[in-house]
Amino acid sequence: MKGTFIGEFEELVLLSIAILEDNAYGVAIKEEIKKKAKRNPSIGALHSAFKRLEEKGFIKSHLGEQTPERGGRRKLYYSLTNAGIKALNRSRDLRNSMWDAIPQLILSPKK
Amino acid sequence: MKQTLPGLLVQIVERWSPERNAEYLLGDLQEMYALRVQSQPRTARLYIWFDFLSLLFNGVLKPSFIIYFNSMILRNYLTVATRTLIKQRVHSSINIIGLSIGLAISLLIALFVVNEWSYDRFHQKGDQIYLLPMTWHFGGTDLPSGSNCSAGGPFMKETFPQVEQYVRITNVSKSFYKGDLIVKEDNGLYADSSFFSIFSFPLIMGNADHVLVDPNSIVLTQRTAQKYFGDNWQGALSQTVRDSNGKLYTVTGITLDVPTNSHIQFDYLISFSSRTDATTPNWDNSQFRTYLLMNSNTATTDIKNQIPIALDKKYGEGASQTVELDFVALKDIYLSNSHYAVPNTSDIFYIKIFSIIALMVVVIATVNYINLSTSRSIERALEVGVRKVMGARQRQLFFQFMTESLLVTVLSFVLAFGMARMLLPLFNTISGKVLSFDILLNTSNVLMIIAFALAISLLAGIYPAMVISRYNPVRVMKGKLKDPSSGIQLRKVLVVLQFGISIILIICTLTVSSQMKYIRNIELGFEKDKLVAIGLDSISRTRVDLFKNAVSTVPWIKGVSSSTQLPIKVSFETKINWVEGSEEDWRLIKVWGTDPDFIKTTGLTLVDGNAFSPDTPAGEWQVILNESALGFFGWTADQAINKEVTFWGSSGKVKGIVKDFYFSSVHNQIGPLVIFTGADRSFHNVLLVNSSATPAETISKLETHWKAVNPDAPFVIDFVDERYTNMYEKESRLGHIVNIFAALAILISGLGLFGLASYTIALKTKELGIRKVLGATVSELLFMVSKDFVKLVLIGFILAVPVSYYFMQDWLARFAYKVDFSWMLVATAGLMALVIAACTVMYHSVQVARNNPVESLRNE
Repeated sequence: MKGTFIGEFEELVLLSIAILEDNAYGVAIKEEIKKKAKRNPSIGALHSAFKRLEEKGFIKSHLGEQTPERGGRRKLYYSLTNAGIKALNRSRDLRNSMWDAIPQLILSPKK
Repeated sequence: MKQTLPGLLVQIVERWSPERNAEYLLGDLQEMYALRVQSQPRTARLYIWFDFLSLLFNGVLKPSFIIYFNSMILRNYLTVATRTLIKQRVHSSINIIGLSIGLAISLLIALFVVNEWSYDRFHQKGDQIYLLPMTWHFGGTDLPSGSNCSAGGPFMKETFPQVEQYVRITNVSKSFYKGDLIVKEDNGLYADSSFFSIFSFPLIMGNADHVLVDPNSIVLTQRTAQKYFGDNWQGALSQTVRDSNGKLYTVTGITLDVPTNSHIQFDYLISFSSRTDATTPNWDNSQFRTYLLMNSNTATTDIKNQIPIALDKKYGEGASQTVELDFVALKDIYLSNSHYAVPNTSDIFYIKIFSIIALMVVVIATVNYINLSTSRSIERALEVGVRKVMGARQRQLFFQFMTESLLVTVLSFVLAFGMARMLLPLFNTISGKVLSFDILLNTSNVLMIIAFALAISLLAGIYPAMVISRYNPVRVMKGKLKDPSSGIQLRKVLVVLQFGISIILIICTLTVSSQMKYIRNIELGFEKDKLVAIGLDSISRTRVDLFKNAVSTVPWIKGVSSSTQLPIKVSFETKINWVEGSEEDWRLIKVWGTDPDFIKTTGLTLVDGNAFSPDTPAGEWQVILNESALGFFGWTADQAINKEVTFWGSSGKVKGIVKDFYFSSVHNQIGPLVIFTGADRSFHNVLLVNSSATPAETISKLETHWKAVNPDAPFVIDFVDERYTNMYEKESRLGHIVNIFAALAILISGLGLFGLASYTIALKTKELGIRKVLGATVSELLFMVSKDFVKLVLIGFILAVPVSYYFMQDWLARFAYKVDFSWMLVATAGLMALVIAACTVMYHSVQVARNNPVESLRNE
């Protein structure tokens, strides 16, 4: 079903938005992914992901306050929509059910 | 905090952000920048641009030009453009036809120029190969020569370790037996054994290092091998060919036929060691074209500076005063404008002229587009107004009009290719080349053509598009933009430019053709039109007297004389001594060996003394001088008779003086000349016959007589006047090409003016109607309408005259004998342009002026 599927990077973005709660805007999300996932997404990749997610209806945005460190420019904050929360849940459930189906034997990495 | 973003970046982001995203995007960028300044202060400013690029490549930023080129809008542009083209049929076909003619011509010229530049580029060691020309210095005169003496090459190799190899080549003409037939082969070369290791003429058979080593070795081209050995030509190796003297040559190699874009051309090569003088290099005469293969990375200027010292060291003090050696890089030989004459080369002067002319024609065609589109702009104004009201931005309209010009250009290019293809055979005949489109079909050339097409459409479309898209919708809708004078200044300048160029081309055409006419009709001083030349080989040479006896009673033969060379191109030069008892005092002069009937045969005019007497005492010459030679020796005509001159080991008395006559190209002044005869005529190459019969009769009857005397020698005949005409091939080609260009330039300019006039006059219909009602006559109206255009053509004329004067002076300076730059011609050219312009304008204006004013005035 087109529109409800989320990619791995999109999942990371959604999770970061969830973690950051009221402080989820571009640079903060970037820093969050960098901290947690140890990878450094480009600002362009992030913004294009925001755009995709917003079009799919998983996140919504609103303009925030002006801050001096941004040269007086306002931030655009993102938050999860209900559809976004559902998508995250669906994704976790899918993983869990698949994890459960794995026989015990191969769970530890091979040497 | 001094960490603001680069201003340019801010501007671009603001401009290229869709909706109102710029604010938070810039905010993010700013924040990241600030973070980076702390961690990596030096590279922060660079990284911010990487962030920018990531935004761009991820499609977050949308450059404005992309906004105007999404597929829907593009399709819309194309639809509108096509509709406009179809709706304005006359206007668009004038545009397209004019442009495609211009482009077709420049395509052909491009082919020609690319071909000219491709000469001699196929040699693998090309950048190490140099021609070694020389200059003789004698008594204050310099005699440059593209060839060298036989000692030149060996001297360079011995003296300079940088010279790896040398090769000497010189023309040879032999007759070979083909079965029982004897075939004269003029296009042969003697060549040193290094020939194939220096040049990259691929051998099909034979070893490049050995083929030209042994005496009497011959290397044939595939074509020649096929001629002599038929289908079995591949078995020709180690077989022999026999020349008319019975000498045998062993075929040691077969090469591919020589490519046409090589200045070295041959049908066969004979080893240099076959020459009797091969082992004794000397500085006596310069008839050996010499090429050197240098070490890579050798600066020839360094060596050139050392040559005089080395010459003096080897040949004694003062040798360098007489002989000067020079280098010409292989790639510069074909197109060089140097003073060294090398056969089968072109002239960069003509390449430049052709390129300039092609460019001019394209400019004229482009100008047409600009002119017509701008003048039509008022018609489009309403459309622009409506579009703007509906929300079109100026930039979108601009792109819409650019699409139109792109469409016109693309159509013209397609048409131009078709035309060029059709005209190619004709062009090949005129240019004397075998050109094909294949050389244009590689990636870089195709890209160039596309780039050129884009450039043309930009150039043609940008001004009209700017003007039209700028209209203020309110004013347009109110009908306030009926002012036809918008852009009128530019249009006037463009018409002046077009006609200026056309007039330049007309003046050039007329001057070139009058010079060519002058050359054709010049009084050479001998009976050029009656002279034919039969080639002599070693057999027929011994039977000259027999032949002369045989034809002595033929009424239409006035005289027969053997000669060293054709009268139109006397080139033998030798050292001559004319002060009795002084061995030292000698100079170089052109000499012409003939037999006693020479004066009678050629019809030269004696001004003093007598013609040759039939018998010359053994070991002596009889000498006749031309008038220029008197000045050369410092004699008067009376003093000269019976004076003694010495050359080639014999001396001779001056018998007579002939009036100066042209014995070489009119590019050069008539120089001093010694005509001589003696008992020894073994070096004579042609038999001149003065025949008053028609060409066909001359050929058939002479052949009968010839075969009766020489059943075993080839009969090769040349008409002197034909050879004379061929000497000026380059010039007559230029004449033809400029002719065609001028005609086309006029045609395109005429088309442009036609379109412009039709429009301008349409705007004036009402004015003319009112004037007519108030009593103006038809001729007054015609005068009124035409006068503006005539003024423009006159200005173009005034500008064109000095330019063409400069060009043509430059060209005429290449001739020693020439017509003057004629003001009559200039006037004719101006008049022609004027008449053409007037006729074009008249076509429309007559119609309008004769109209019943009721027609034009009733609609309001």
